[in-house]
Amino acid sequence: MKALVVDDDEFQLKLISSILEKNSYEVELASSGKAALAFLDKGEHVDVIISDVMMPHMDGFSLLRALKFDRRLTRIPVIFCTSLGDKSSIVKGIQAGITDYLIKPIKESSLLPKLQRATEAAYRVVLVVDDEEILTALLKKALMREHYRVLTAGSGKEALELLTDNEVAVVLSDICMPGMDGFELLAEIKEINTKIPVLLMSGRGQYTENDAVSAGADGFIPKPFHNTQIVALVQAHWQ
Amino acid sequence: MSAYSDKLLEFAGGDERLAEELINLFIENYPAIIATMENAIQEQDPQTLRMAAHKLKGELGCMGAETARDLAVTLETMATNDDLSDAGKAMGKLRSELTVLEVALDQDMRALAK
Repeated sequence: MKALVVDDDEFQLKLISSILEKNSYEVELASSGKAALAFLDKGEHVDVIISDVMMPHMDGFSLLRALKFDRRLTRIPVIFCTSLGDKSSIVKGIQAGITDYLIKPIKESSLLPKLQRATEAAYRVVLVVDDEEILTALLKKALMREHYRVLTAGSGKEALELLTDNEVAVVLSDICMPGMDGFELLAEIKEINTKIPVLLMSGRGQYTENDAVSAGADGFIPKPFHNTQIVALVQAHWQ
Repeated sequence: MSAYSDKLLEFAGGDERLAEELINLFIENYPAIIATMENAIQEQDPQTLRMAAHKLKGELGCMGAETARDLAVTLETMATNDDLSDAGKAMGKLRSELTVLEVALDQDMRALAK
């Protein structure tokens, strides 16, 4: 688990990073919002960002806006560190999309549970189901490039097993598969949890969007498709 | 150990070495922060004063130095309200509080070094 800590005060960086390292987090430090963005621009992966609010040049809000504006970074959970009594930053932060907040001085006992909760939400996955291994591999790669966590299953049965053990946010499944087909899988998933969006895909001409939607699917995409179409569809159904 | 170091040790999760490093960092850095604040008051620059007071407030909070922290909050509020008319007075009080704090921290560092 990797945390990016952003604060212009060396003292606070030292305190927070020491608590994190002691608890087996990998830590990256940034002394400004700009430095944090420069680090993320290199394509470095982080699981959570802990940021001070009041910083010179680029404050926590500007950093948050930049993160929310960037499709690749928008899902990284952000925890704000605010001062006691600074309610307006908390309210503004929540409206702008922070996952949680901490009141300074930061205590280990409040930092760790909040981090755990924030990263659990970020650890939701896209489940890709297709018996064509090359296709699942390609989809996995395309989605991971967008910072999604991805699990793949080669059959409906395998998909159902993964669904019981993981926090699945979106299912992307082929229709034509040996054994349990996409429609059967869709029915099974909706039986377990109606809220999980299921997106179906199939070879052009075999099934239509109408077939998929009438069976209860939340979206349909005909093959062959471009990766950007899949990413956009998953993004639209990510809750 | 002073109450300040005890408090810091609490925030450092009982890690004496970390507390020591943080005290050193504070002793090393705070003169520059107050110099920035005094300069900002002289130059009538509330934005710089606000940033520096805010930073100092955060560090003082970690040491439970409540009187000094309250003064830093007062200065931060004055800067936010763009009214530095009483800032010099508050700054004087803050400076003497910090001198007391540094003496206590110095003693703690010597005790820790033994």
